[in-house]
Amino acid sequence: MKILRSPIGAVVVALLAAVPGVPACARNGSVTSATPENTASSPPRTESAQTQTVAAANRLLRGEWAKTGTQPAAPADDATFIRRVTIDIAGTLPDEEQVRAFLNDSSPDKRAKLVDTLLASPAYAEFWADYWDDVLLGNDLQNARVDRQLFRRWLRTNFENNVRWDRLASALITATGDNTPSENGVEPNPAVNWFLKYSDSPQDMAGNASRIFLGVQIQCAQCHDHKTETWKQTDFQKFAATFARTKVVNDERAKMQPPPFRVTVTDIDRVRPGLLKEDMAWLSTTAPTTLDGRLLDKKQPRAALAQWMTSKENPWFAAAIVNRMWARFLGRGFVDPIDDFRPSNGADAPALLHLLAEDFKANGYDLKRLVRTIALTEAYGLSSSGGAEPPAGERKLWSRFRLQPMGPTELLHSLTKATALDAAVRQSQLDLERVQTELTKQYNFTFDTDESIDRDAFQGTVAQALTLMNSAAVATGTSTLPGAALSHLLATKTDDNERIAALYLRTLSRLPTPDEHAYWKNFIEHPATRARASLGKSEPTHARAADPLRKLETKAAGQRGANDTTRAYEDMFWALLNSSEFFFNH
Amino acid sequence: MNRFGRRQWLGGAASLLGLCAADVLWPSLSFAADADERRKSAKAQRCILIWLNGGPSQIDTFDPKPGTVNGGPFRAIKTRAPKIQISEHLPRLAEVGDRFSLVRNMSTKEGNHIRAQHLLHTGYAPNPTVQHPSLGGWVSARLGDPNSELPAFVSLAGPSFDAGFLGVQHGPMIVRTPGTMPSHIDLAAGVDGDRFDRRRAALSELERSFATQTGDAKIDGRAKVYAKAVRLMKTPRSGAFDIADEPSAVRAAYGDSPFGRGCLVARRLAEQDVRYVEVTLDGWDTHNDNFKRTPVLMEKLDMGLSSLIRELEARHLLASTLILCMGEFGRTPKINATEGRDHFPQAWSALIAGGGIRAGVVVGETSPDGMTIAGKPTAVPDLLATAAVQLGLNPHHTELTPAGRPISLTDGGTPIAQLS
Repeated sequence: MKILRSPIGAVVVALLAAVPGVPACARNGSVTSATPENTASSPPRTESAQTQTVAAANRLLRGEWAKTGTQPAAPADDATFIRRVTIDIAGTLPDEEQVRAFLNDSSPDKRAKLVDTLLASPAYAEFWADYWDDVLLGNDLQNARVDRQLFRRWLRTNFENNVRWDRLASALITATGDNTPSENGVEPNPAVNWFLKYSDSPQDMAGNASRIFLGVQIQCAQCHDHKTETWKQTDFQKFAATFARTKVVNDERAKMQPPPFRVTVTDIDRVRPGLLKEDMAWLSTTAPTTLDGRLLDKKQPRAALAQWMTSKENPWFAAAIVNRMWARFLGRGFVDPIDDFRPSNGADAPALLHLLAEDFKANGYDLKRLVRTIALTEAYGLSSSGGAEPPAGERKLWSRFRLQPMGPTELLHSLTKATALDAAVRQSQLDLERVQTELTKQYNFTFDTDESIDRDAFQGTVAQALTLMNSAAVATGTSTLPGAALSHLLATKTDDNERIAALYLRTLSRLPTPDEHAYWKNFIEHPATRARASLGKSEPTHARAADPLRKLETKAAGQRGANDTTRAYEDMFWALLNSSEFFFNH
Repeated sequence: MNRFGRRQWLGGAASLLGLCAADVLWPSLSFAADADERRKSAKAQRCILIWLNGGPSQIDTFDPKPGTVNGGPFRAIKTRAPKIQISEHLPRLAEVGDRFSLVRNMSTKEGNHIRAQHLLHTGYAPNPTVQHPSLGGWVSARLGDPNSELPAFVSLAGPSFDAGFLGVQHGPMIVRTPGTMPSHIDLAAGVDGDRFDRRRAALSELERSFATQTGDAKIDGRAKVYAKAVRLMKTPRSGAFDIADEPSAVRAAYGDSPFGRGCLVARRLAEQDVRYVEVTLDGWDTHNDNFKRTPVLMEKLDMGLSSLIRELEARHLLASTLILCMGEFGRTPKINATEGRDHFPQAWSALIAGGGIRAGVVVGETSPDGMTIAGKPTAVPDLLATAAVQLGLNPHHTELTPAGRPISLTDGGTPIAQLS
């Protein structure tokens, strides 16, 4: 593996070569495993250094606010914080006990402890594996060769082991090997499945690699010289040439099996056959080159590219991931859209981006550490209320926490947790796994969000509203079926105030105000509507599509022992789950 | 691009809550006014896309070459249009041959399904730097009535493509099983109208309180979406999605298939002036057994599309409803080793009808062996530009993406002269 014409590169190579286990990422068939070289160290020893980083970040941002006369909002209270950070780190809501314990905890470092607990939870790995699965493979992948399940499991293992970001990116960029297991025992390399998404087009591979790992939309230059930047079409072609020397070999026997069809991805020493004729013309004569003009080893361009990307001198790699994670947590990146770094799209608070990127590189490209740093900054802890609303078009500088819709994964997890839907389904003898799979598919489709850009206006669909208002999942979840949260709540708490508080803690992760107590007590005690099962149209009048929970919903509606009070609590639960305070992360 | 300002949501708690449907007006009245202006002078008031997913074989459908090496076993039949002959497996469409035209010189460079589907729906090859809107998305944004109880863009039996950077609110409402209601449009079991209103009153109270506390315009934006959803739930016009009250003879004429039912729903939605409806017929990717599989598909297409054309005309809606029928590419004239045809974007056919276009016209032609096109081919932007102009849209109208990039409705297309 050589990076030509780059003395710095040669030094990097020499250093990396001295560390055992490094070439394993590029070797055929390896899964990125939890070797010491691959995993980033956990917090304790570096805690004070990290505290310093957080403090420096806070100072820098306060400086930006002072410069622009921006008045930050007040700090968010504890209830707001625990809900916000649990959604952002673990993709779900805290439960009632966790909220109460956090509110009652008086230790000064309780937020840091909470963050650490969340980072150590299995939910963290699952949530972030889902996130990267979506970023890398996307929602609508129809590809008979991609082993989606294997890829997702591989991602989850990596996040459980807190794999270093530079190793993970390298593994994806350089992956060779089989995409899926075979009978003859050849170990697959799950990372290969990302390459297979773009295997037909080196241009698409290059464009997405650049966008995802470097935050650079080089693919604008695929069809014409970039309109605003200096990249020419030839620059794009040189970058795309990096991915043209890798071919996919089908396993002919495996074609008789159901998908995913087994293939082997290998690097070869020339442009691979099978590309479009007009592309072959320039690919055969174009030397693979990095975005900043360095030639890459023609024999192993992807490996050379991975080393260039992950070297400490690379101006984009660390900044891109830091920007993405900052945007994820704070609602808007330093650079917006997050994958559009270019001179004419300057960063807000560039010194802060630089600080965090340098810290990231200096500390083993540790994603958990990055999350911890961001989650403990002052900006992340601000309220979403108050603070000056800057005139439209001006930079907001994160002076107020943003309202953003929960993504499909967090939303479904939160609904499920708040309602104990899983328990209700299990107790009704339905196939929980089937229900979960159906709901996941449905929610991924219906509630898909575009996170790459910060938008001021709410973006939502009628289908989303209908789902939350009328779906069997919400109806079942808010019912008094055995196992459902409400039935347990009504059985164990007899005082209305306690019940109201419990519902608030389950959904909004906070206690109700006195006004809210009064409102809901009145609502419960004075039901305006009596059940009119004989008059109301509780059976659908139109043909309805199949829904895995339809049977359960009907059962829920006809629950024995239902009375005005239970129905009023169902109504309250429904309102809380449909509320914006529930739906938005704030 | 529409932005909700603070002034608007402060203006009325009732409108925020969406309780009083008549009071809730979309903030940007200028959108509606412009849409009305456009529609006044347009020949087509709405569009229906019959989407043949998988890439239908042109030689076996709309561009027959009987008796040639590549022609395959199907014969060609005359249609009501003097110049047009089509496959023997499309007899009902032949009967309405004087109501449609064919574009036989479609040509693209995209032979990959996903890329080609994107190209045909949006007019652009997929590009990670821009989320191009589908034609349906453009129609929703430029011609949709935001105050209508029904969605502006509906997709039946298939997912279509969303509205990209124009926003999710202009994407399609998808009905997987045509003939049934959109998902979750009916109240949950055990909830009648009164109970639902009571729930919404409680929800409004939560919303009012949270909006006051945060002052964020997104809450009002969300309330408006909810109000629109409730209008859809309550309007009797939503019955257009349900075909239960259609006479059995009518349902039989469209065909007992999801596609057939989709075409019938499309007619009903056209009657309700829904601006853009897509109906998908999948299965055209016939790499194997092309000659066994395509007749089955063609029968469905034949029944559904011919019935749609006839019934729209009977209701005096054909002249104002543009119909496009196509897939993502054609199929190889050369028959392969498994009696199939493979992807062939170089030369294929699209059908166009209604919406004021000239019928009975054949645009372009392929060589006798089907391999090449004589003269200048029709590119996808040209076809979409044709549709845009009929609908009263400027094909070169640009919108700024949120990142500030101007994106044009068509990628430089020119409307097909012979069709206007």
